[in-house]
Amino acid sequence: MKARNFLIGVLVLVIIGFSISNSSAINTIDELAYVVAIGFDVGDNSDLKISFQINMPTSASSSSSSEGSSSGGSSSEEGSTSVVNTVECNSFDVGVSLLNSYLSKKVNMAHCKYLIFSEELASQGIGDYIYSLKNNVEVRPTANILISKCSAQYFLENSKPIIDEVATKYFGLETSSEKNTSYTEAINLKDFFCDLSDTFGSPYAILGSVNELESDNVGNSNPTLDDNSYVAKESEKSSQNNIENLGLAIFKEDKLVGELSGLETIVHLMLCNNFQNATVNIPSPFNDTDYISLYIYSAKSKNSVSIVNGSPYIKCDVSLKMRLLTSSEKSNYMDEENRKLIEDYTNSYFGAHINNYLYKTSKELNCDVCTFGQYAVSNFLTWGDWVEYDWLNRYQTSFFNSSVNSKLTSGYLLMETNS
Amino acid sequence: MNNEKLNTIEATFLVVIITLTHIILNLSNSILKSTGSSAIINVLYCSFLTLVFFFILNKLFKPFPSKDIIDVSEYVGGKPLKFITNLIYSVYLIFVSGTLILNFSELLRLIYFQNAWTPLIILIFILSAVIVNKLGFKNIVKVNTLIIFVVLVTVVIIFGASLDKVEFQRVFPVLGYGFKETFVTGALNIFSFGGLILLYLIRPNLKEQKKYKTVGIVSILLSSVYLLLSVASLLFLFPFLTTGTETLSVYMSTRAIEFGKFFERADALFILVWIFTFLSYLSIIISYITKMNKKVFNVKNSSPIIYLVALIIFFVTLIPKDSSQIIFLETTVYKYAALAVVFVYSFLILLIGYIKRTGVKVKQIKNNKKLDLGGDVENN
Amino acid sequence: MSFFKNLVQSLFQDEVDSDSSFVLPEVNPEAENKLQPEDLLKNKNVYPSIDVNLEYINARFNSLINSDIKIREFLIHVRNKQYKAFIIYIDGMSDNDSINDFILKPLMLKNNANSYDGPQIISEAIANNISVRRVKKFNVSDYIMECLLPQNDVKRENSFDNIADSVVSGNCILFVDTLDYVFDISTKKYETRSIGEPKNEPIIRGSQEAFVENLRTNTSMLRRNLSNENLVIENLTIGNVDKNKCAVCYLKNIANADLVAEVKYRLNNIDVDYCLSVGELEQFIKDDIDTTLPEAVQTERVDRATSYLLQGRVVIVYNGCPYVLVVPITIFDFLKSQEDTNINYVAANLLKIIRAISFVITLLLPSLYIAISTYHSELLPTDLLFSIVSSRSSVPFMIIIEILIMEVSFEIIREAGLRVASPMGQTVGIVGTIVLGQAAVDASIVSPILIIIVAITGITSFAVLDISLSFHLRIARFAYTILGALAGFLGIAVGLFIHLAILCSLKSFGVPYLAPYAPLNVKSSSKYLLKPAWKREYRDDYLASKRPRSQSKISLKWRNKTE
Repeated sequence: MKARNFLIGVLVLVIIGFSISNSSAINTIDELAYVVAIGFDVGDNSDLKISFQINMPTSASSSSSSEGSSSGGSSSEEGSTSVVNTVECNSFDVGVSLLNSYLSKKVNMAHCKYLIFSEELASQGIGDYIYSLKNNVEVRPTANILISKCSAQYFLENSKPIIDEVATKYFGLETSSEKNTSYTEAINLKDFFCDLSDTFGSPYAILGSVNELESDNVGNSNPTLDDNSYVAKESEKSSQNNIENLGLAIFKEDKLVGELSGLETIVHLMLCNNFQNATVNIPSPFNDTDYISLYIYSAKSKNSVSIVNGSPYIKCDVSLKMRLLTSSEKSNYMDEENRKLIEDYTNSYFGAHINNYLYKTSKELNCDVCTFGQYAVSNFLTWGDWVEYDWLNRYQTSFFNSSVNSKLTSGYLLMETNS
Repeated sequence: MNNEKLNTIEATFLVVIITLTHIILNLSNSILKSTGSSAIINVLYCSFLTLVFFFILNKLFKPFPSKDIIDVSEYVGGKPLKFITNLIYSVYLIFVSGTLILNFSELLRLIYFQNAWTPLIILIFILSAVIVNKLGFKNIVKVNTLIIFVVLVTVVIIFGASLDKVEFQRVFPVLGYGFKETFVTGALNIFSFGGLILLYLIRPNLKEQKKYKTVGIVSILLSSVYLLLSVASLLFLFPFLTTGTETLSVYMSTRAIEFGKFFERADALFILVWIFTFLSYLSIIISYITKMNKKVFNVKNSSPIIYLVALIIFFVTLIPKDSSQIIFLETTVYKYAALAVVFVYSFLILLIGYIKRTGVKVKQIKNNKKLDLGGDVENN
Repeated sequence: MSFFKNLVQSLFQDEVDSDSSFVLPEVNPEAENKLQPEDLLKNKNVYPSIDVNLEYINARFNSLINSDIKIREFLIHVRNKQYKAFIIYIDGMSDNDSINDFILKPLMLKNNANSYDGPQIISEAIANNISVRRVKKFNVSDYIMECLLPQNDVKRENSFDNIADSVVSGNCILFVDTLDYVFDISTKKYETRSIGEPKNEPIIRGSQEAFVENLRTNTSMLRRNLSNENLVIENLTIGNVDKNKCAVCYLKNIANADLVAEVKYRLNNIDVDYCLSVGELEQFIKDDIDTTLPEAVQTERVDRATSYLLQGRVVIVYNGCPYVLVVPITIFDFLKSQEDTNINYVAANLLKIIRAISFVITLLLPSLYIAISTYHSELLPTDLLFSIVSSRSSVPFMIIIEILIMEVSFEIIREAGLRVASPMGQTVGIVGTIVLGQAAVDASIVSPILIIIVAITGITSFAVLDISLSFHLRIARFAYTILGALAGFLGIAVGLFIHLAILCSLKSFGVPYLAPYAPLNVKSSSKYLLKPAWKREYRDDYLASKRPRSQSKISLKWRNKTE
């Protein structure tokens, strides 16, 4: 037994030695500055301009029961919850150490939720940055990738939470809002990296911008646009700035080539079988000027790809399930005939948009963002054949056949308003 | 002596933990690399091959009740071959465990302890294994049986958590790099069942000799299921051409796991479990090397051998200079060493032993003469 | 020098064989399941010969080793004739005074009642010069019953089974030569004096009876709770100077004979001058002397000790100590409450799971906190991390210092509150609360989150029921905290691994400490979680008891209405 205790003693000594040798790398939570979001811009003098949004710990010394008392004075502390720091450098890692040089705490990126690239940088190509971010131990593969239409620094500076106090909570909420709207898809570093290095499809990312509208009601200000085809940042006036994420940014290899609007994103999600739910306006079948709102809660797409004469033949069967949100005076939408009418309208509405989407991605952009490649690959027996086929460039030559089958399952509380 | 006997579950888990340890490091990755999208088919194929191999093995071991490979080689070639077998096994086990521990310690240093000195991390592992070894073989087995459940659960969790992001289309193209790569050169992937080496050694420790077959089959099946799960979660999750560049594939897949908002970055918990796995693995390896040498050199006291083995493993880990050497050792050298030792050398010895034994038996019946067959090793 | 010599020697010694090598064998649970040895089992009746009876009683009650079974042989005077006789009763269960005054005295001493030897004439008629006397036919049995036993409750009995039941319930049995039945005399008198409620192991439902200091009172409580003549209570003395009495109690037909022999062997081979309490005794007889873990359960509950006896364990009662020792045990016995079996098994299992969680929390929470905050801060959810960071922003200490300050002051308050005279205890508590809770946070000495952690750790340590186990947990918690501070999860994992291996290597009287999980026995009947009451068919299999089954296959026979 004595030997065991002696050996344990030796082990403890080794652990202490280990700890001493490692001590310079130890950073307790007090000594770290947590980056919440990182923005990448084209630098003025050097290659890169990196902005870090860093969370500031609100002082707990104000009172022991800070939760209750601080809520009243929140407006004064609002600005202090996070700061944005910008450095110019040639590579990401050097940027981090530059930032470290003038911060009292060490920068830690383990809690980074957003990686923001400006449109300008993205169109030059962001492959190298993605690879080195992926190589980084601290940056999580679950951080979201966002392409901002303005500069990333401007984007970060304006990303002030409206509802929440803590910046991260706000970011967390913002990404999850896609569950309710389907106007964008939460693309994270891992997804983007996979698509980037993959032969099945092209990468895409969240499209975001600072919305400088007077109100947050995005649809109203621009009546000429269909609500859902709205792309982030369509207006110039500024009173209350707020960031918004809407639509997707499309990449060819690592370069930004195009973007998808909100409605196109909805279609994209339907075709990729990632659709959660969405609220959509379609022209009313009963009245030319009106719209009716539909809540689509399920969309399944049966995709298949076959190779015909060397060109891909892509077939998509989309089936939708929806509920009716609109109700008006003297109407009975759930009537068998009316229902049929609405369904037909929906079919043709989405059929048109799907065709538009497919045409845009293949012929205009030549980016297989919907990763039809994964369906095409089953036509090949070995990896060599597949690589030789060069799917990503053949996608342009593909032709499509799409069909939509919608089903209106119910309305909401009012069934009939005939009175 | 009764104390040292293992029941079926304990014996099975001894074999499984070896494969699991390799899975956690780069095993599934190197399978993916060599076979591409046909990895799953390849794993199934290799599991089948291994099962067939084990059935033959079991048959060959039949005439040698409760003898291990050391005893058989003594029967085949006398003392010299016994020493040679012992040497080969010891060197093989020391080399494999050394590279594994080195690789894992490098990983730990990379992720958490940037400035630490890797040999100190290795020393922590080895010292713990020595302490546990001083407590006796049976206790290692008990601990192993307890923690292997946790490890098995983590592998399932990794697979389950990645399930919603899975793209099953990645099994296409079915044949991967081609038929030859999948089924002919891919057959070499049975090296992933290198844990079978314990099946050569475990026989004297079994409580019921009849259960040897069960132990073998169950452990091979369990190993292959987990190999399949980890290969599948990697294959479905990542475009496999790029995973080849990653140092630690399974760790990479844990980084992408999210359980709601609360467990977003749970990879440290997996590392915690894997440290257990490696400690258990190292203890088992050290105790088996000690057991073999104790038997061969007729030493009563195992403590000096434990220290010696631990020391040698520690020195082995100091040899590789950089991470590319470690990766080379772990994937390429290990692959062929495992094939040579587990599937060729041991098998040949067993085959010769079997032929000799059955031949002798026939003679025995003919001459009605009693031969003492390996009786002097029975006391072990 | 000799230190190094010893060290080197022990380093190169094979420790596996140097352990105490007592192990209990594995048994097949379906093995023979008899209540009694074969010859005692037959439903026997009392023999006419008193010698045969005495022999049988000796065998049945194990009276040669059983310390509280009293057999008194004497001669009865009946009409100046002497009959051999003996009485049997259990010391502590029966009223000594009434046995002396109203059984032995009338039977043994000569008096008017038993010395008359003339015929008792009922009537006398003289006819034809022949006087016909109707003499009462003399019957020893009736005579004793009617004249010699001035007791209110006397029965005749001829079945040994009934006799045994009476004896263990506190009656005194009188055997008389030539009679093939006995007198069952009610002399029940328990020592109920000063039996208090269990103070340290309270339960809501169940017996509220606790052991006291007196050995005989304690054994009589066991006897009263466990009505079976196979309960053997053997007396031993421990200590060369202070020869204290100690009783080894077990069920002879259930407990493993090797186990009983081992317990007695260890108790008989303690060469010390004195041993004052059960706690001290436990350290003298435990298997692994180096460990801080307890290897015997100390309980003050009579019902708990009884249930352990019925499982086939050995209970050691020590004079002068209101606790008894139970051996062998596993670590899971420390997480058991007597309440568990009294309530529905689902509720009991919920409690058991909560206790297991408490066990883990109290062992690991501070170390996990420091490991995560020092090395693995990415593991925390972002919002939680930020609230921790902001709560710590004005604290000047490193986390490890903060934890140690708080843990040590918590231990101080606990110790002070425990030792101080009870009126002062309240004050200590209040001062502790204010200093530790409010003031320390307000002064920015510690962060609120740490107060929460220390408080949770403290409370969960009370949910681990056994105090000696929680001592071990407290020691281990400090070790883990330091390991976590030194090397994060690596340190904790290494610590846990070695801790687990040490736990696996422990034995309590030949029973593996983690049984039935290590060595793993999948078929074991004694898993941590309880089965329904009617499904607890087997005794704990690692005990290798003589009667593995505790219920028949279909225990609820009344449900089987077809029969």
